[in-house]
Amino acid sequence: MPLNTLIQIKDLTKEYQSGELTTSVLHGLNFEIKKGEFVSIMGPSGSGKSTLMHILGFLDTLSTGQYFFEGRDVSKLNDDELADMRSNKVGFIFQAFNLLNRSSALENVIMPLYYTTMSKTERMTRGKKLLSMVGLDHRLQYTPGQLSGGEKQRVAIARALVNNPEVIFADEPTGNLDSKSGHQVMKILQDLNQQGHTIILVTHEKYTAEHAKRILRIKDGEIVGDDEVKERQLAEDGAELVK
Amino acid sequence: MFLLENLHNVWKILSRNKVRSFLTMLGIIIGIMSVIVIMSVGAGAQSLILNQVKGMGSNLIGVLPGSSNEDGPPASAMGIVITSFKNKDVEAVMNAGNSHLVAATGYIRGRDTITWGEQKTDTNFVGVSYTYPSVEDAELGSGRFFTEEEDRSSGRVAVIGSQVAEDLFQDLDPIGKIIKIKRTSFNIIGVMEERGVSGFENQDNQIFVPLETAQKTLLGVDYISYARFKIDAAENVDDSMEFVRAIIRDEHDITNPENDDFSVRSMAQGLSTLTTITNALKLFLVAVASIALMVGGIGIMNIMLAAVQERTREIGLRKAVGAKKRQIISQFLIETMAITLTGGLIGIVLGLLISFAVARVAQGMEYDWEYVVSVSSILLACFVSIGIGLIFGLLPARRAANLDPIEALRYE
Repeated sequence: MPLNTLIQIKDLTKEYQSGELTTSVLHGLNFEIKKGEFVSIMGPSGSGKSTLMHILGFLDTLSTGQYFFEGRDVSKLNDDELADMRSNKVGFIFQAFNLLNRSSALENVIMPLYYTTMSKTERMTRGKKLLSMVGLDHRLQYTPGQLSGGEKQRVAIARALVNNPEVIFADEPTGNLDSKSGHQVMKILQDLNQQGHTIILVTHEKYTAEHAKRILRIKDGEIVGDDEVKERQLAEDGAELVK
Repeated sequence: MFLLENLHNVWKILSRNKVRSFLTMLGIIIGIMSVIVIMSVGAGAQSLILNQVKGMGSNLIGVLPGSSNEDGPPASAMGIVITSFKNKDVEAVMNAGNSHLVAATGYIRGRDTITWGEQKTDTNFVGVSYTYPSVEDAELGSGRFFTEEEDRSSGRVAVIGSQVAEDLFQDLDPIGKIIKIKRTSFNIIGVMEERGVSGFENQDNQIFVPLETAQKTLLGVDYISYARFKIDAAENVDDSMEFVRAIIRDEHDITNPENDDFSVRSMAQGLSTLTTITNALKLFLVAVASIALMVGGIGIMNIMLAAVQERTREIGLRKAVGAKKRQIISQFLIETMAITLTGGLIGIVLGLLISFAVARVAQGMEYDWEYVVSVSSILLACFVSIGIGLIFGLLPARRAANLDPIEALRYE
């Protein structure tokens, strides 16, 4: 396996058991994602793209097949090891932001570090740096209720970056945003990718998906296309948010 | 580190909804408060009894007429008058030559109106031997106690308690005054030192007269109500009790101990009986308080289960960013324990205040009541409140830790 391969999926399937009924969601996926890629996983709702993202993000386990992350067989990891992977290797950006409503922007950003060994002063420094990176250094003590949708998602991006992850998962990150804020968020993601971050974007929108460099099309639990984006959408919001 | 930050978070969560936090804690507050009050007031009451018994002298033996088993009340305490116990029995014991028996006196009690000129007071008179002060370690405030001579000759002399002196004579010196009890005149020769309330009797509201005077002149009887023997040392009390029994049996021509028409008791015995009773009472009250604690704990569990439900998304998020199960468990456990411990501390403070108030009221009523705060009961209360948090927090914490992060993140 080449050194720069981050994710390797072999014959991955996922089935859900509910009582007597077995629902098969993913049937036999095969693909690789290299370090530094910006990949969209695109498909209609019910296609299994969210399930795939959950498995890739160590939130869910696969039924059969293999998943190697940096060459490590993920299916052999126990609960605690999966938690460690989530803590050290991945960052999530959700459609619904999922911020703690009663905590400040800064507290939200550094929340994942709570489960690491990093010292409190180090965390604060890192949190402030990331918030200023997404252009929110004037909003450190604001609670989510005092922030606009776009600002909330930028806080969530800072949070996703706080543990310096190998890969960022963005699940419909623009789904709850107006187009201007959406552009801002996509611009940040593209800039982060420019800096070398691996980004996996999950969306059902072709337009959003085309901000990535590569699109994995998924339908009914199978990959139906794996293409480079020829005419890439470049988010321009006029603001240089990521420095 | 983790703990401190958790506590900081807990503080934020508690202060977020103060009314609910307070109501959540209420059960624990009441439970712990009750435990502290029971322990402290119980200890205060025990100290009161202990002091009284000590005040009378712990190496005393009491002899009561009528048989009774070791722990039951004596017949005389149930209002039955038994006339078989005489002062000659006491004298026989003292004359038997046991060097451990230091002093003894018989007692006969009565109650009547005492007059001095126009002044009147209702009080108890007690017939005792001249040895009374050495038996009960009673001190005289002024004057003297009656002598052996006055005792033997049924002298019309009286020694009055400090309360009687105050009631009858106010600021005047009672020594040398003549008072009347049942139309018999008595010459006051001494006033007792103030002794306070002992048992259920005000020791200062009594008049002491020679035993025979009380028997013959005032009451017209020849028996005594009870007798007390002073023993030289506490370790000789048990042997001396046997000795006293043997002599009185001999005096009463009793061969089978089951036919005893008297009973011999030590103060230590009485004390242990009282302690047994108060301890049982304390235990019962603590049991009632524990029920309050249980109910409080269940209330907290209920609230925490609701909190887990409310914070499902937060828990899902925390798991998604790398929180392990045990970290979620400890977060919720610490939170529950902080609530119960805070409630416990409030309960301890309230309990101490209430017991302090009780002690002050009792002291105000001139009881020899100590304000006892046992460190052990406070420590116990702390541990119990933390323990309740641990026990009743476990279920909600486990439920939180076992949430599926994907489901939890979708939860509305």
